[in-house]
Amino acid sequence: MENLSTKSDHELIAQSLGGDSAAFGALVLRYRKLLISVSYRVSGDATLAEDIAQDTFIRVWDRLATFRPQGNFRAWICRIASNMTIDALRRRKPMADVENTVLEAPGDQPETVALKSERAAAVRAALMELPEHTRVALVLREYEGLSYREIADGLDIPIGTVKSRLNDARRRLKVALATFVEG
Amino acid sequence: MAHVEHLISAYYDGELSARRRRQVEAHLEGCAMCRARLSEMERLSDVLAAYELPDTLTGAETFRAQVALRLARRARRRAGYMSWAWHLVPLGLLSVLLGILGLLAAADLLRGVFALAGWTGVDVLALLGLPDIVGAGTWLHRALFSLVGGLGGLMWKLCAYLGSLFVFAVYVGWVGALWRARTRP
Repeated sequence: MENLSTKSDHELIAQSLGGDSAAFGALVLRYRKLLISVSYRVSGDATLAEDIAQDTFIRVWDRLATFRPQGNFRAWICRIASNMTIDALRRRKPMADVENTVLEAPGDQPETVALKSERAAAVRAALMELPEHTRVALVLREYEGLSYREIADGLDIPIGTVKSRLNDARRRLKVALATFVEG
Repeated sequence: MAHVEHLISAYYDGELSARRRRQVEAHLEGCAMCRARLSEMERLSDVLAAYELPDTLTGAETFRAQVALRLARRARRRAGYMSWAWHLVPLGLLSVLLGILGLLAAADLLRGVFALAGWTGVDVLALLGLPDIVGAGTWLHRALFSLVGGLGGLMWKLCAYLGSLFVFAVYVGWVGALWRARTRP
C-alpha cells in the first residue's frame, strides 16, 4: 500500500485533485492539529475550533483547484481557517466563560495546575481582547511559527503590516499580561 | 545608535536581515532598556505558551473519518440533485418542442381567422391600436405588408424548424450521455 505520509504537500494535492480521497485524508491528518490550533487560539473555544477545522478541510477540498502550485499550502489553509473562525465569531453570541483551559499534566501539583489554569485563562482573555486580524497574525507567528513571509502570503498583506500587527499585539499583550510577564 | 524597541519584535522572531541583526546586537550590548524589552518579549512567549491546546481533542483518525464522511455525504447529496436534474432533461426538451409546435399552430390559426374574417393588414393594425403610418391602400402599404408577411412567415418557420432540430440534437446527445454513463465501468 502506498505510503502517503511521506509525500509532499504538492504531490498529495495533485493526487487529491485527481479524486484520490486517501491523499486528501493524508493532508487532513497532516494539518488537522495546525488548523484546530489556529482556530482555537483565535476563537478561544475548543469545540468550535474542531468544527471550524472540519469546515476548513471541506472548503479546502472545494477550492483545491484554485490553489496555486507555487503557493504555500500551510499558509493558505491557515488563512481559510482564520477567516472562517472570525466569521463564526461574528455570527455567534458572546462566548461562554473560559473552558478547556485547565491543562493538567500527569504528576502536576495542585498549585501548579491552578497557576497554569490561571495563566491560560488570562492569556485567552488577553488574546480575545486583541483586534481580530492582529490576533490572527500573532497566533500564526507565536503558536504556529510561521515566518513573516508565510503570514504575509497567507493573509495577503504586506510584510510591513505583519510586523506592525505583531508589534501591536505584543505591546497590548505585555500590558494585559503584565502580572505574569513582570512577575 | 538610537533605541531599537521597534525592531525587538522582528529581532526576537529572527526576521531581521544580517546587517540589521548585527546593528541591533551591537546596540543591545550597551543598552539595558532595550535588553529589558527583549527579555520581556521572551517572558511574554513563555506566558503565551501556557495557553495550550486541550487534550480532549478528537483523535486524528476519527477526525479524518469525520471529514471523509462529510465529503462523501455531500457528494451523494449532490449526485442526487444531479440525477433529478438529469431526468428532467427530456421533459424540458419535450416542453420546448411542444411550445414551438404550439406557437406554429397558433400562428396558422390566427392567419386562418384573419383570412376568414377578411381582415387586411390595416384592420390588424387598428385592432392592435397601432397607427397606419404608411397609408392604407397605397402601393407602398401593399408592398410592405407583402414583404413583411412573406419574410416574417418564412423566418418564423425557419426558426421553428431549426429550433426543433436543435431540440432533437440535444435529446440525441442526452441519450448518448446516458448510455455512456450506464456502460462506464
